[in-house]
Amino acid sequence: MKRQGLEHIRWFQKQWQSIIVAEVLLYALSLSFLSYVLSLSIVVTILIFCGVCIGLFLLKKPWQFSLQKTAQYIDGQLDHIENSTELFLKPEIELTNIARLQKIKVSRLLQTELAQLLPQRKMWNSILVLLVCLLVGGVLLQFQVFQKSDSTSDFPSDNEVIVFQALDSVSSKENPPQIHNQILHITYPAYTNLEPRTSLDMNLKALEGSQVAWKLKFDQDIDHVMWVDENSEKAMRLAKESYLFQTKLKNSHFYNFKFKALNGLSYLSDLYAIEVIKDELPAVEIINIKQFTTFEIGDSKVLNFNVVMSDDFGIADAFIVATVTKGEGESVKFREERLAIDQGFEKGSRKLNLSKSLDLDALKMEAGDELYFYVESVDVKTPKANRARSETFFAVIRDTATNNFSVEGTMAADLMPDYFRSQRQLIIDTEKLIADKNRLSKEDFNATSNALGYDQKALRLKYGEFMGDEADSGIQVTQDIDLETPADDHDLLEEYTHDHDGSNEHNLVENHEHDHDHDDDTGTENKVDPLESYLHNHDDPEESTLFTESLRGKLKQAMAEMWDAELHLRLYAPEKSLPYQYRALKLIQEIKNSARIYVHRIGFDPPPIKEDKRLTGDFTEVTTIQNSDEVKEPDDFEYMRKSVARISEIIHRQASISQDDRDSFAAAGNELAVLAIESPVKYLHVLQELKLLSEKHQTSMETLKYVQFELLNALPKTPENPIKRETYQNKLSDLILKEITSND
Amino acid sequence: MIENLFFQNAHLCWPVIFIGVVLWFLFVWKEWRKPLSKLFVTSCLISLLTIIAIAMLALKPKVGSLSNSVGVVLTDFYQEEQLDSLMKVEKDLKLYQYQENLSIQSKLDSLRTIYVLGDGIAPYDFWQFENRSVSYLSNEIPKGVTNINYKQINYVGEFMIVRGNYNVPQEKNSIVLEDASGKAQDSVVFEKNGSSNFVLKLPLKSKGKFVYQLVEKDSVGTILSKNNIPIHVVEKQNLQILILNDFPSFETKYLKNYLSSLGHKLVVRSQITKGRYKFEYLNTERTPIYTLNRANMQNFDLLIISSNAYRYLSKQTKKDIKNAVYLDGLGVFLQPDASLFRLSEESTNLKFQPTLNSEIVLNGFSNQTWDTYRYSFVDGPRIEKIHFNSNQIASAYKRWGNGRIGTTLIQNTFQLQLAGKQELYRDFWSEIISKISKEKTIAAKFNFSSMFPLKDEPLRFELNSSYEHPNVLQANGNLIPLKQDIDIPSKWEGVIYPLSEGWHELRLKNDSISTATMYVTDSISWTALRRHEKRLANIRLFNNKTIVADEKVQYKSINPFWFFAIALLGMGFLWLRPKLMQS
Repeated sequence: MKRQGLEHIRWFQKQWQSIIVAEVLLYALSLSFLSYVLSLSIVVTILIFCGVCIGLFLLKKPWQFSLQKTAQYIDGQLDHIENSTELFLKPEIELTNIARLQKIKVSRLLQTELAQLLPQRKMWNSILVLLVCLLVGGVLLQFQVFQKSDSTSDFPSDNEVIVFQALDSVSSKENPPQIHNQILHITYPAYTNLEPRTSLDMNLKALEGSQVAWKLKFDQDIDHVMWVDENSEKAMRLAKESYLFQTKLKNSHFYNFKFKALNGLSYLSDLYAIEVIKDELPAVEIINIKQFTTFEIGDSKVLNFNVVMSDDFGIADAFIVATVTKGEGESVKFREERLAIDQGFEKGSRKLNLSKSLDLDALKMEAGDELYFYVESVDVKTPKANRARSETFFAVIRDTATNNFSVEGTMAADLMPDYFRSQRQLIIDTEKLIADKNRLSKEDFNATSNALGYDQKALRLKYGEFMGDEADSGIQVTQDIDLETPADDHDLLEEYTHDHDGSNEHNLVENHEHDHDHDDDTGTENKVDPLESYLHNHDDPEESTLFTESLRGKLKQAMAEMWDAELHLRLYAPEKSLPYQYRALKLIQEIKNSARIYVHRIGFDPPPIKEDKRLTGDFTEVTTIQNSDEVKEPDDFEYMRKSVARISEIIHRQASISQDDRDSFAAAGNELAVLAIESPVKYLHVLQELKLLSEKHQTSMETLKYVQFELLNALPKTPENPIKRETYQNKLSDLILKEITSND
Repeated sequence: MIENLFFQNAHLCWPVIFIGVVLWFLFVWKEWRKPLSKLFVTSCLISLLTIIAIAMLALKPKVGSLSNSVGVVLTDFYQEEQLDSLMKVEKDLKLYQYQENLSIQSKLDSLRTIYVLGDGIAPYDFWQFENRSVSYLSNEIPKGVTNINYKQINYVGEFMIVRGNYNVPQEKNSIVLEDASGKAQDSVVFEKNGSSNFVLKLPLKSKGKFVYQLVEKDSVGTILSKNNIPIHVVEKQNLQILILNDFPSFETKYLKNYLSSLGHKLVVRSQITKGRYKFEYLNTERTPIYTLNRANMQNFDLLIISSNAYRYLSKQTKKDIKNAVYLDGLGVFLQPDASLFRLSEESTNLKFQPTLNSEIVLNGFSNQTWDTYRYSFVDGPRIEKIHFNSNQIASAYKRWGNGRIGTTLIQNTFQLQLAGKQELYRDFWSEIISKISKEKTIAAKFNFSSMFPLKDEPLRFELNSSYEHPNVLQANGNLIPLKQDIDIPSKWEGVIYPLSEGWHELRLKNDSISTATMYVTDSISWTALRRHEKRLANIRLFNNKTIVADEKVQYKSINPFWFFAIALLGMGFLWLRPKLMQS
């Protein structure tokens, strides 16, 4: 009896444990199924299954259900057992007689009621949950709610599958071959490090140089398949019941497939676009440095800057190209160096920010030398890498030994005189004189003022020379001005004369073919040979000058200002002279600026005139020329126009499409493809129809009309062109014309 | 009364009279031979009566009576109110329903006055109403496109311009020019109180025959009506142009480049020095031209010559040019320079007057100011303007016989090209050159009476032809009879009845170039236009001339029963009398 009772309790314990295990497993199964629906990943599903199992087991702890606990549970649940279950667990010997009686009584009860105590309802709950999860998950799977777009399934969706149209209308009755599966495999160039990609969509967009392979499988045996683009038709290779073709992408275009079934009928697919993306040029920028950097000779001559580079697939190489110039003018020497950027440079990085320093001393640069540098970067593209360069930056080591005035760095020859500086010098001197007025004696003051007046005159005369002025509107310099100056001031005068003004004279007049000194000899020259001034064309101030018209006006104005300045200096009133000097200075500055433009103009070197041939009236070498040329601009859309006209004929005459027509439609398709690459949405459909027209033997009038008007819409407007009009003349119109013109 | 009697079988009159008289004499002679009875005279009279009655049976006499009745012919879309008003005025009104192509003539015979209500009679049924007193009480102008004007034959590169009038447009309704695939090319939306006229433009890009649609839509885009716009676009013919310059100029250089790039054949001669020239042959073969004469100018459609070069031409050359212009139809364009205004008037026929303006804005080029010489054309009856504004004529030509001579006073047009305004430059020059160049003389010209002929309806056409006996064939080879004009022998008329919708062609026998195309539209197209045109034709025919018809006499045949009865009684009497007399 005892055994029986104990066995019952054990059985109950086992049952209970197994129910809990089953419950846990069912819940885990439900949750993991749902997770599979969401993620479509086996790994995730298994992980979730295991996680849920462990979690629930830890929560439920089925291993903790000992006999003791089971007995307590049974006592708690069944009242009429009267807490006697534990009696079964105790050895028979320890039991009293009453206990034994009780045990026998309970044993009977246990036998009948234990089975009802099992928590079966919990299991039914979990089964229900599982069923619900299966149902929900099944529905979601069925409608592909969480289906990823790039599913690797070989079965293309309806709008992706290649649709073939029969080129012969008879074949529609038969069961035409269909695509069973289609794959497009894109292998990017090795340097991109991109994973190969497969696609079911036959329209593709890929990097230039990518290898593209097509694989088509049909549900029936067929004769052959062609891969067709605008220029050629290429047969696809048969391998393991699939047709293969591969090519390297060069430029954007359209393609389609064409196959011939075993019964000899041809089929043509829709058009698909290949869009080729070009590898971008690397971007290079130098930052944290000024465009021009100047160093003093004593400074530490190190340039610090950052180079920022980026490229879509990585940078292969980058270096600094530095050009050092030594010397100036015609003796300038260039030295180019390529400096590698080693520090921190990682080949193949997509984005780089490097700091770099250039030591000018290391480049063996001396005072007065200039450095031009830029960074060039090369990307990883093969076979021909893209190159890009940054802006050019400049660094100069200032040369304090020379301070040559230069108007424009790029001038081949410095034609501007040094006198331009002198006006500023004069102003400084005049201001100094005014400031020193109180400290100087009246004589000294006057003498200095007069000396400045002389300098002003000298400056004016030099400008006059530039103008080609010999006697410029009465501002002619004669010796008698010297008579005005006091004799004892002669030394002083020399002292204040700006010597360099005179010493540079040879520079000034080197292009000016005057062989006489205007300062001294103008008066006598006129006396010696009065005709000479007429013969020398450049004596005329309007003709002989180095300057252009607008410049001359300004120069004249400046000279007038100088004339006034000199006047006031000579009258010992430097204060009154100053405004004129300032105005003169301003005008000279303007002249300097305009000289920059002028400089470029002196580059023109007219061919020499052969004086011996001039005006001889000899035409022997002059002959009549006859040129003939065909210059009609080619029409880029010739076949499109032809096709439009031809379709109009076909519709009008109900004619059939000949082979010539098909060829011309194919050519029109190629012309349209150029437009279609620019805007595929607009023209792809008509291009497709045109392609079909060029292959098919029969077509409907509606299609023809559609193609005709779409082609017309795609055609650009022809330029306005004069026409030859038509007229009909009869006796009446002749009479009218005669009557009208009879009055003439 | 007697004038109102006539015999239907008047041609049997004499034989019947003759037979009747003979019969009667026979009868009288037979009666005479018998002993004279008392009834001799009676019998003779009765026999005469009988013979006359039998003769009448053969001659079928008709008796006329004056008709006073008024009739109304009801045509499509007649207004009930008009009919009611008419009924009030005229008591005894007879109503007739008009059906196209069915004869109504006999019914009209009894009417003194006829009123026509509604859209009117089809023009090909007008003959039934000839010489009758007809008043047409017209409908209002129908709603819709009642006027349309465009060229059915156009050239590639031109714009087809459709001008029309829409009667009583609804606000926000639109007129759209669509191609056959339903793509809109141009459209006009009618504004409130706006003009009912519309202009639509379409660039023509390729040759061929096309049928566009003029679609009327309401404000939400529902199609109210669709009308066919057939056009025939033909390729342009290139011009042969000779350019003579006494020195090379920018204007010539750019003009030459422009014309040659479009495929026109050019010979350009610029003088380098005395007796030495630079010849350029563009799109044509080498044929140097040193002296101008009528023979070598015959190959050219246009002579572009600088005014200075023209000025120094010899008298003979000028005469040759004049002959080439007068007789061969050559066009001469004088390139303007200062010497243009020093040319004598008789050498150019063009008169100029000085003005103060050196700039001008031209009609049609409102956004551009043009440099001009300080001169203007003197307007005259024979000056045909090309470019002008309200005050000034800048480009014009005059006819010289078959040809034209013209010039422009605009200068430095090449600067437009430098400024990137190529389109403006092309518009300017193509207009001048098209208008001055020689016209191609064609051997035959067809004019159709309707722009939109219908299937099975007569389409009249007029043919002007230089052939003596032109033969016009349809596409199926049927010969069409022609009627020659009585005054102008080169003018012919004919009628065709198109058997199907779509494009049709007429051509001349023995001349494959002279053809005419027309498009036969469906009967739904252009209903408003057709109704309006019919209405106008009816107004023109009936309301401009009032035919006061003579008092209508209506003739009725006398019932032959009476003659038969008289004859029967007469014969009965003559037969029974001797028998009764004997007994």
